[in-house]
Amino acid sequence: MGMIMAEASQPGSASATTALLRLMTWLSPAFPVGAFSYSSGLEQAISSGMPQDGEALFDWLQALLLHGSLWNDAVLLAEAHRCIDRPEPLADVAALAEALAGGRERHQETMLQGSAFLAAASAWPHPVLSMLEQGAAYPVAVGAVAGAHGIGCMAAVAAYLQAALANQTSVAIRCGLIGQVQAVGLLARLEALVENTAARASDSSLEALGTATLLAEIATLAHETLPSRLFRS
Amino acid sequence: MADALAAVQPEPILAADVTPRAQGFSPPGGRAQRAWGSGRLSTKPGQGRTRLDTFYQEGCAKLRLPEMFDGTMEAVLINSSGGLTGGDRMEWRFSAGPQTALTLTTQACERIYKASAGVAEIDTRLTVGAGARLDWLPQETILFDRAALRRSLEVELADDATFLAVEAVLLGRKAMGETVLSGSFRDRWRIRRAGRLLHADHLALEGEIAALASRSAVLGGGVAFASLVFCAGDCAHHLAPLRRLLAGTQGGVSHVTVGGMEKLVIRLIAKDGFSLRKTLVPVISHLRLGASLPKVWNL
Repeated sequence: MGMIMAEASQPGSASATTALLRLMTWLSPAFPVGAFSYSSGLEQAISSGMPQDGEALFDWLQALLLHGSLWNDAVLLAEAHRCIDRPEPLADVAALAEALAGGRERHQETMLQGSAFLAAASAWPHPVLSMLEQGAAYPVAVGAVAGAHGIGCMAAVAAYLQAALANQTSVAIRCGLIGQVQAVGLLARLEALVENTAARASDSSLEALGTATLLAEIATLAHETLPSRLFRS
Repeated sequence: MADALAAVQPEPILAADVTPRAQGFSPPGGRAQRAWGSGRLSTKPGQGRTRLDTFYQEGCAKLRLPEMFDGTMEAVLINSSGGLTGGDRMEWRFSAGPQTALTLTTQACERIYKASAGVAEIDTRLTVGAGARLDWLPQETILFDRAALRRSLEVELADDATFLAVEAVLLGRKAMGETVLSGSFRDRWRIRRAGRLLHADHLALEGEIAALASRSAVLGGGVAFASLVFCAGDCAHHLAPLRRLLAGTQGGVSHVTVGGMEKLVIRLIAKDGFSLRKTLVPVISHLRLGASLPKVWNL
């Protein structure tokens, strides 16, 4: 929470407690973006035996943070966070985030959650919402809204990544790969990496975009034809 | 093969706007002169055929135009320096004029050798005019241990243009017992249609590549991978046949609509270069809609 405190002292920024409350609300599983219905290909990966246990899932999630879709999301979120006063670069990062979404389900996952996030965030009125009225990918929507309300970039990225990881562990529980206790253990072990990734992303530019997780991406493509499925991606 | 390709080699046309080599690429500090090449070509329609409009080659970039009998044009890209290392730079610019069909391929696999300093750069820009089709089908890029490559592919499509792109990468040559332990590979794609972004991609394999490639979310130990994008109106009907062609492979295909614009995207991983080609050739063939593959792609 040190990062929230430090950033809160700047003029125009939310108080540390306000920032904490809003991030908790916006990135809570109860916020109506339908996060629970997406697995980002993890359902497919588990069904084809890629992560076979909690250890393998730890490696999988670590790879997503360091070299995968979560890293790209973090960089895109940070860029949107910087662009809240500049409609053109904000539109550019929104277009880039949409074009980067690999397959149909990944595209749907990020675009539908982004639109739902913007709609629900209208309970906290701000002009930035009208700049994104065409909709935006999920990390762009979160970055822009957090930035507009004076919430620090690193805190916003960290909260976004934590929510995504919590959702992934929840997918793994529902797919029967791990239990609740293991899931919490994974989140505890990933904590330092989340903080480190958030720090790097909040200090990055779009030049930092880059993924290596091709098998995770192929899992999101293959999920389209998975015969029996709990998730939309 | 080389003689046949050279048969219709046109004279270079020197473009006035080209930065001279001395100005553009003289390495500082008296290090060895690095390789540099620039090749450009554009096509125009004429009597129902694709004709050469402009042609330019400089440095180690060469272009060969094999004779075609179907009214389309094929250009074979050659890097006469025999491979790239840190500090080398290749620039390719191609433009398919309205109602023309241009296929681009390479004479050989591009080899990226160990970089003692700097990064090799390959910078490609493609433009596809109204009613035109361009196929970007270079052969595999081979990364050797401690190679450093930064590649960029920028594509501008007219509203109704058709575009197929394939980029395949091999981490060393398995059959030769070569492995890539570390290195840096960054590949950046941008495809715009009528000025709007349709596709973007950033691949980044950096650092301890062997350890990275072995991770289950990355390449699962595979050493060959490919990305393929097909941009055309009304291309969803290719999805089912492509899924059949990819069945049983470590690959996937999807049809995505971005702001009303369509694309098919494919990612593929294989245990070696031969297996990768065995899957890629029928896939490319299918998306060529009956047009033959460049000869260099024959298995």
